[in-house]
Parts: sequence; structure tokens; C-alpha cells
Amino acid sequence: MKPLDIIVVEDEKIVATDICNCLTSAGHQVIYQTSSGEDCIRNIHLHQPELILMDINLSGALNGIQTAEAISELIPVPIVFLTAYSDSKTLNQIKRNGEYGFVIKPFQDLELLTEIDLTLNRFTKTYELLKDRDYSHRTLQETETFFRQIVNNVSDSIYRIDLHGNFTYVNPIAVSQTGYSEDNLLRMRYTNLVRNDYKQSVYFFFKNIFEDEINDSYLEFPIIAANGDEKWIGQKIHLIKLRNQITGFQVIARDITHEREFKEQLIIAKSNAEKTAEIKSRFLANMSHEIRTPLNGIVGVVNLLNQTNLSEKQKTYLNAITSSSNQLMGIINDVLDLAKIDADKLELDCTDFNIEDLFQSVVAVFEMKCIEKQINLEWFIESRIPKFLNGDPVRLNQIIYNLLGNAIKFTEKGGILLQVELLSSTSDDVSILIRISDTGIGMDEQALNMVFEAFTQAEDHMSRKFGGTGLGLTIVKKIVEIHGGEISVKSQPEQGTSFELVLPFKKCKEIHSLTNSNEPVFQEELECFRILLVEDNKVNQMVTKDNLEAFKVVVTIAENGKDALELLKDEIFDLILMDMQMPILDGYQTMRAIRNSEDLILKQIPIIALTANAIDAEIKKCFDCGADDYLSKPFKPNVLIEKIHTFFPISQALSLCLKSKSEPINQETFEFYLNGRASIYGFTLKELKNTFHSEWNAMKAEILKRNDSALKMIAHRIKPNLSILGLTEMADITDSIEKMENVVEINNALSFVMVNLPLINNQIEALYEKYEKSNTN
Amino acid sequence: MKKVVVIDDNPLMFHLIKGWLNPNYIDVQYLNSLDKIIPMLNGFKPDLIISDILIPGISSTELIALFKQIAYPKVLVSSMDIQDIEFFARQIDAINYFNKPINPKLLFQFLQDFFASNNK
Repeated sequence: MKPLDIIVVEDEKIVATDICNCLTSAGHQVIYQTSSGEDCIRNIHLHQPELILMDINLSGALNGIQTAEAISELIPVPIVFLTAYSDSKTLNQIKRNGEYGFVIKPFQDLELLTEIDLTLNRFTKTYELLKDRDYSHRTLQETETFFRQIVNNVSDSIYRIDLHGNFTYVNPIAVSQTGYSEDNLLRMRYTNLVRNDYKQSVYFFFKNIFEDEINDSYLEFPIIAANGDEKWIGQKIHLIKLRNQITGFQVIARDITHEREFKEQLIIAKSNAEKTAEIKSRFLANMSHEIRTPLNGIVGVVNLLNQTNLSEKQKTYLNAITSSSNQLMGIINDVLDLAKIDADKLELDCTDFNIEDLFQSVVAVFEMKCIEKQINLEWFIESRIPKFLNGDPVRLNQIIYNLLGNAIKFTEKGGILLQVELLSSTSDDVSILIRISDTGIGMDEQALNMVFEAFTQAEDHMSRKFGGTGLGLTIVKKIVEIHGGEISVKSQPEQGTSFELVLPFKKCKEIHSLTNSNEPVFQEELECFRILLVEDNKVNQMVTKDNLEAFKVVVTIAENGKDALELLKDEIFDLILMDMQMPILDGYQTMRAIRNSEDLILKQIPIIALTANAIDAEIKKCFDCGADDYLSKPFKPNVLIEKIHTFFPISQALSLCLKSKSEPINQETFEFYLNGRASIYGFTLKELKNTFHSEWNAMKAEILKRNDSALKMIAHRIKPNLSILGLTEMADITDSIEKMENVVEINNALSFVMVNLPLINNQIEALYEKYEKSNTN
Repeated sequence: MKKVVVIDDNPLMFHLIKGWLNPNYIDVQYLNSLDKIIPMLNGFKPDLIISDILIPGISSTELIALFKQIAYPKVLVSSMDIQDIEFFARQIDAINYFNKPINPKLLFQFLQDFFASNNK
């Protein structure tokens, strides 16, 4: 048994000595001995006993039981009573509390020691249980304090409401946020705080999350604080559940008034910025128009002047004007492109194109320059690359033009190598590598890092020496990216620079004959071609007119749309060149008026829109108003002529319609094919007329696309229909179209068909009317 | 009642053939493409197919392959040269072929003979 520190409280000296001897011999230590309860209580903290032996009758005012009770208030300690009485009252008092033990005097040593042992055991069990209970109680208190501190010190309101909307708990922040005291809040309904116009929606929100048991939700709404201030609150709402029943809501609410203000300011700032950007892009578009128009005039007049007799000196001056104008035009185009890229308005205009022709034409531009600088310019296209690809040829041209121009600009000796290689090819797509390497001045690493940034050339003095806006490569990179490609550059100072582009293209769906691309312009065909030029700018009028007259085209000028419509009433034209921005009646309205006209032939007249505002939206507007094609001002004379030439068969057909007489329908043949069925006479006529009408439109579209295979197919389709009407000459011509290879022959044959189909339809119409009349009679 | 299918991208040809034939004896149906030919034939079960050769959406090689699978009697019509039509007709075992526009008298005669021999 473990030795204990024991206090003995006994008023009889002899008994006390006896007890002490007994305890000491059992190995225990008597640390204090006293005869009065009061003395024991006074010294209890000093001695910290592990057990007390207590007599009932003591020398002081307190008896043993009272003393024991007082001590147990102070420290937990087991007490064994020594009593001479065995009266039931005292015993009951002692027994009531299980922590006490007792022995009845006189006792045996063993009896005492056993009771001490038992009491100590009992006490230890009880005490530990108590200690445990006490500990969990303290832990609970600590946890509560911990959370209460958090709840009281967060910057968000935390509160609970019951299903009726009454507050059941609010934290101090809720009090300061609302301005109402805790007592007031707990007597309020939640909706009392909500701004009137939101009351209903907040109510329905809570109803909703209750009905659908949405455990996590968020809601923002304004509340009115006690002082009348309006505050915006953003709150997270959780359901409070008790045994799976929703009993209320736990809400964490944040004051988001300032946040909202910032957000609103941001929105306003964003919309302002967007407006500004739009104004900028509109301004740029307008500026480009305003600058291009007079520049167009300058370039045009210079071209005309070049054709007159000039001295060498004058020619040199003229060349200077031309090159300055071209430079200026380049800058305007660059700035406009960059503005478009910035505004995400740059769109690719993908068509099928001949890649070899494209490179050929770009290289041709620089050949003279290279000869002047005495540098080599070589280029290779890998033969595995399909001749025709689908992509944006104008933008590809721009990319190559820029890169090649740069290479030549910065190369003084050696040469430039342009390589085009096939990287990969699937059934639909082709990936092409274009490498442009030069032996020029090159760049160091610092310059390389900035090469694609706007307005940078390696150093300022460079732009003074070499010229240029420094926008070229920025634009190139953006275009390459829009095209879905990549561009990279390698360079060493004094060693040269190498640009590598990887560009994806689609393979062409239609098969192109190679003759289409290099088609010569047939000057003689345009003789006596009648063009109506609708243009208000005097210089442009003169330039375009002179350029066209060089091809013996007959040009009539209308100052504006209204004049044009007047002229069209009486005169016949093969084609209209229509400026868009004009006083009185602009190009768009004029085109609409023409397309809506009752005159079947005038309605179909080809119109080429002339626009200085060459942005995609503008071009789309031109087409929407009825343009067949467009030209971006300023345009080179040969581009204009080529474009007009594509319309030649249609224009000719239309104008011939007015004066020709078509092959007459053979009534007998037609009736033969009806096989004596008079019932289908009218119906068949109508069907024929509809077919011819739709095939005419299809032909027009394919002529503009120069799609010979489709044209042959159309010819094939209409041939039997012509035969039914006994139009053998027409049928023969359509038959021959299928076999023709020569472009001129096809054009002529197509013109013939285009002229005659409407005339045949007129005949059919007449027959039909006759038939109708005979039927009603 | 005899049943005939006309396949041609030019609806006029169908209207004419239908117009020539007596609707009380011959039911003429029309297809302007070959997309739905198989289900159509399975449902209609014609006695004869009259088809053009050049039909948009299908090459002549594909057309031959398709027609080889079709067991119904076939007649080809086209505005091609007659030798070319004959070539195609042989490829697909067509029982006859005509130049476009079809001479109604010839077609009429052919149909009469064809249906007469079929009835035996």
C-alpha cells in the first residue's frame, strides 16, 4: 500500500498517540495533528493532506462532521471518521456522503488501516469522475468562449431567424450594422429591416430555399438601418435543421454598400472606355476615308499625268509624288489595320486562291528594288503544296509584303531567301511553313524581344535611317494569329534575320482550272461598253473616266444617286460603278432603288460599289444593298478593268436582251413533246419559265465566281428544256458549252445563253397568256 | 396498276412523263435526288425506274455502283451523246435508254411492250 500524508484530528491525546503509532508503523506519515476542527481548517492548505482521520467530538465549536464538510469545500480529500458512538443519527450523517469512511472506537489497527484503504479507493474513483465532469464542463466553456469571441469579433453580422422570420439570435455586429439594440432586434421580424420594394422578393427567396431545402444560398438586397440609412447587404444563408426538420435560418450578412458603389463605378468606367474606344475606331475609319479620298485623286491624276508627254525631270518629280503617295497610303492602311485589330474587328475573308500566283505577285513588287540595291531575291515553293488553297489571300499578301519589305529594307549586301514548305497535310487542311531569311543587319537579343511590339524599331535612329511606322510586324503578328498561325524570329547582329511562319489553310473544295488565274484582259471586248459612273468627287470622276476611256469604254457620269436613277430611266448601261458617300441620294439608297425597280433588266444590272471605307461591316452593307462586287478606293486602273471584265458576259447579255430577237419557239415540236396531252400545256409552259429564270440566276452567280465546271453543269441541265421548245440553235450552243475549253468561247456562248433565256421567257409568257385567254373563252 | 419512278433533278421531265401516261393505269412517282432512293423503292416497289445519269450530289461512278445494287428494271435517260448513255446503260444492266428530251412516242411504245411482256 502506498504511504500517505495524513492529518489526525483527535482531542484525546492518548488515542491520538495510538493512532499515530499505528499509522507510522504501517508506513504512513502523520504530517499534522490537532485537537480542533477550526485549527485543521486553518492549516489545511498548508499541509495538503492525502487523507484526514477525524474524531467526531472535538475541542472547538465545530464537531468532526461540520469540520469535514467545511474542508471538502476547500480541497478534495478523503476523510475517515473515528467515533465512539454508534448512534444511528451520526452514522446516517456520515453514510449520506459516500466519500467518508468511519471506524468505531475502540478499533483494531488492521480495522483502521483497512478502512483507510477502502475510503481512499472510494474517494479516488469518485474524485476522478468529478474531475472528468469538471474537465468536460471546462472544455465546453472554453469552446463556447472561443466561438463566442469569433462570433462577437467578426466583421459580418451573424444571426438566426426562425421560420416566421423572427430573429432568434443576433451577434454584436448585427446590432451595429442595423443600429437596433439586441433586445429590439430579437423582438423584430427580419423583413422589417428590408427596403420596401425588396420585401416581397426577399420573402419569396426564403420561401423558396425552405421549400426546396437549399442549404447554401446567397442573396443581396438593401436594408434600412435604425437611423434611416440605406445599406446593401450580401448574405449567405444556411438552413438550421433539427432532426431533419428545418427550424430556421442561419445567416451571415456582410455590408456590401461600398463594394456595390465601386462595382457601379467600374461598370460606368468600363462603358465609358468602350465608348471612347468606339469613338476612336469610328474616328480612324472616318479619317482613313477622308485621307484616302483626296489621296486617291492625287494618285489618279499622277497616273494620267504620267501618260502625257513629260520631260525626264518632270517624270522624276512625278515618281517622287507617286512614291510619297504610296508611302502615305501604306501608313494609313497600317493605322487602320491596327485600329481594327485593337477593336477585334479584323475579319478574314477566306476564298480559294492560287498560292504560287500570290507569291509571284509579291516578289514582283520587290524585284526592281533588289536590282537597285544589288541584292539577291530568291524564292521556292515546294511542289507538294497544292496550287489552290483556301484562306485570306489579301492578308497573306500583306504578311509576305511586310516581311519581304523589311528584309530588303535592312539588307545592304547578300540576299533574301523566301522558302515555302509543306509541313503537314490532311484530307481537309494543309499546314505551310514560310521562311524569309536575309543577310541584313540583324538584331540583338533586346531588339528581338521587342520586335513585335507596336511602334518599335530596333532603335530610334533606325526609324530615321530606314523609315516606316514600326507597325508592320505588329500587324503581321496579329494577322498570323487571327489566321490561326504562329510566327517566330531568329537573328544575330550583323548576321541576318530569319522569320518563320506556320500557317494553316483549308484545302479547296472546288476544282480550279489553272487558266482562270492568269486570264488575260480582253481589251477589245470592252469597246463600247457603257458604264454609268455615279460619283460626286470631281477629281475621282475625272480619273476613273479617263482610265476607262483608255479602254474605249463609254462613260456617263451622274453626280449623285438621284441623277443616276433619272439617267437609268432613259438610257441603257452595261454596268454601274457606284460611289457610296454622296449628297442628295447616297449609294446604298440608290442601289436599293435599282434592285427594287420594276424593270426586269435594269433590276439585274451589275453594280460595283466603290468605297473608301474598306472595313468589313461597310462591305457587308454594300452587298446587303444589292452590290454585286466592290472596289476599295483608291483602286489601280487594271484592277478596275479586270473587275469590270468579270461582269462582261452578264452585262452584255442584259444589254443585248433589249435589242436582240431570239430564236422563235417551235410550237409543233413543243406539242409533239406534250404527246397530245392538252391538259399539261399550261403547266409545262409555267414550269419551263420558272426553270429558265432560276437557271439564269444560277448562271449569273457562277459567272461571277468563274466556276466553269458549274456553268457546264447548268448548260447540261437546260439543254433538254430548250429542245422541248424546238430551240435547236440554243440547245446546240448549250451542248457545245459542255465541251469547250477556251475561255473566250465559253464567255461568248454564255453571253448568248444569258441574252436569250429572258427573251425565250418573254415568248413563253406570250404563249401562256394566249393559252389562258383561249381557255377562258 | 403499274408503278414507275422518275429520277431527275429537272422536275419538268417528271411532269412531262406523268402527263403522257394515263393516271388510271400507271402511278408515276418522282425523286429529285438519290438520297432517299433505297427506302423509297422498298416502300413503293416500282415496276420500272426511269433515271437521269448526271444527278447533283453523286458522281457517275457512285451512281453505277448504286444502281448495280438495285434489282428493279432500269431505264436511263440523259442529254449526253447517245454512245455515252449506252455505255452507262450497259454498266448497270439497264433494259433501255433514251436521249433527252425523251421522244414521247418511243417511250410510250417501249412501256407498252415492257408491261405486256411483264404480264405474261
